[in-house]
Amino acid sequence: MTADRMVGMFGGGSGEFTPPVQSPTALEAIGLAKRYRGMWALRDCSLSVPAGRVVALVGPNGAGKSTFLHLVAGLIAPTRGSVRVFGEPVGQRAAALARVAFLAQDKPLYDGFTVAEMLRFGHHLNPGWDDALARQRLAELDIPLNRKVGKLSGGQQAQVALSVAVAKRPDLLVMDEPLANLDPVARHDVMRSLMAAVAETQMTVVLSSHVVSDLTNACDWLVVLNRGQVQISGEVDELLATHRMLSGPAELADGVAARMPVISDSRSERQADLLARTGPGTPLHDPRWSSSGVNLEELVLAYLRRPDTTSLPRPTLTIS
Amino acid sequence: MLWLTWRQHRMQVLLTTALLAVLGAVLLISGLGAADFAAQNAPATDCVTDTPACSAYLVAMNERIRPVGELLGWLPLLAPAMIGAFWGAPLLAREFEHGTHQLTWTQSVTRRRWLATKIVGLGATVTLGGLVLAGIVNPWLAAFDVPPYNIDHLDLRWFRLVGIVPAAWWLSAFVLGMATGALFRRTLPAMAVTLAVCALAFFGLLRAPSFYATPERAVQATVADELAPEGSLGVNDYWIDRSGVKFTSQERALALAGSCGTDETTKKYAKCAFGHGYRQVAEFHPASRFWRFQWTEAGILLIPALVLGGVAVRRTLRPRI
Repeated sequence: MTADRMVGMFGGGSGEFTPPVQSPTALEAIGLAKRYRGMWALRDCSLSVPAGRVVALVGPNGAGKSTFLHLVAGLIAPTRGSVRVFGEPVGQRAAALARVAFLAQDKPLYDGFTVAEMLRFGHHLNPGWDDALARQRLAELDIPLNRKVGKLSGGQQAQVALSVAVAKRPDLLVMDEPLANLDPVARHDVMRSLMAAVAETQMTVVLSSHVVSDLTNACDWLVVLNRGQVQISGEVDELLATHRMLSGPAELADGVAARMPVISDSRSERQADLLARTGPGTPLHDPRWSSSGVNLEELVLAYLRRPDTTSLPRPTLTIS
Repeated sequence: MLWLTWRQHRMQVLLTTALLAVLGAVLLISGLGAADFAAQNAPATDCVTDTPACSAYLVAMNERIRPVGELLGWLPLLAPAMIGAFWGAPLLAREFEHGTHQLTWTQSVTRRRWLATKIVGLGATVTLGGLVLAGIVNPWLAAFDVPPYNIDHLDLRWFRLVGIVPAAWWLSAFVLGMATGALFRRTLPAMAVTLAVCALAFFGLLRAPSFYATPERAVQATVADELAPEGSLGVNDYWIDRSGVKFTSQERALALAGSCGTDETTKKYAKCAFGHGYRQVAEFHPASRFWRFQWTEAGILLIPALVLGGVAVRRTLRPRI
């Protein structure tokens, strides 16, 4: 317990500039599976995310994102496998609950409560509650404390829900589709206010979306869930650096494809465009081929179209 | 946690308190009036013979108790139904319906503690409410209980308004509502089912206290014998002849029509019937069984309610959505 706390403290301050090897693991899932009425919502899901990251969890509808996040928040128990947050198993124990804040998909709040009463709710139910932080955030957003929550706009409700989650001072903030049902301005505001909170508190954040473009600027770690399985889990910069769009003559495409994993392969009569994972050992010398970078959206889309391909972290030496 | 429970359920608490206060005021006025009237008009206590003063007093007291009594007669049905529908059913159903369980269950308070605080806090308040109801009905009845007018607590008009039975009904209805809310996860269906079950239980148990024990049986020994002692709950009344064969009043009247005449109200007729070997039999529960019956009814209500409540709590605590 004490050791875990210390690891958490070191990890909390590390931020995104610390090399992953030194960061403790914020979130770890091992063989996680969940079955509902005979249907597997999530099967054999294993991943590990270092502390201090802002994790984008993307995947099509029904990929198991919500199930995964509910498991992390301890709202449901896995059918198989386990989830650990900062080394401790999650679940309905007070100590585990205090470390994770969860923002559910519809950002539920008590509609009849005033904003001030929502803060009082947070204060009564959380020993680590940071009332000053909550009040400061709401004051910056010009949200009146005496207004009933049900009378606020959707964007303001999202901000109140986010403030309640952040003022809990969690080590891990889990958000299920936080931007769904928000207009573009509110999306932008919520995202900006989230990033400000992350900078201030150095918590690890996991947020899901089925719209990749919502998350591209904010997140530094990408997890792609597809059909209940983890397809990608890795640092965004590294993923972008190791995936290239290769364009060249169609007749040579097979030769290139044989040398490296190809995620997407579109060929016309003359030209082939291959999105490939290019390890450091596989340079492309042929001048007839051109190589260009990919963006996150293209990358995710390519993987989602090929559910059988995966990009998971290479086994690395870690000192533990 | 207590603050949250109060904040979420204060409407129910305040409304129930207000209704109890109004009822208390009505009963206070009615009771004071009755006590005043009885002090001035109650005839000498031995009203064995039907003097005009006696019957006038009894009629007047009856007139006084009737309107309020009729109002109170609805309470054993309405109060538990309302408690179940408005205190119990929304407790979990509303959280599930609005998704707020996902908010509350991810704060730093365990689901177990949250649920325990709510159920114990509200359950205790509801029980207290039922006891308060009995506590204000009891002195009101006492104001009327001035001989020769007589109030029996075992009388089914009053049985569910005094003692612990109101509290048992209220608490069971609350637990029932909570459980249906946990199982249906939607407020309106949970309320509807709670109301229906409360009504079924009320009408099902309407005459049940007669069966809570084997009734005592008394056989007429003299012509002027009063069979069931004062304050007892009558179950059955019939006649037997010398050989022990049962007769209803009508059958006896038919059998005696030749020898004793037809005017059954006269003492002469009673003597004649007695002389022919007809004996009146009364089956009744003596007033001393009041508390035993109170606890019996409380058990009949609370045991199934608590079992159902236990199932609901287990289901809610199991981390599965």
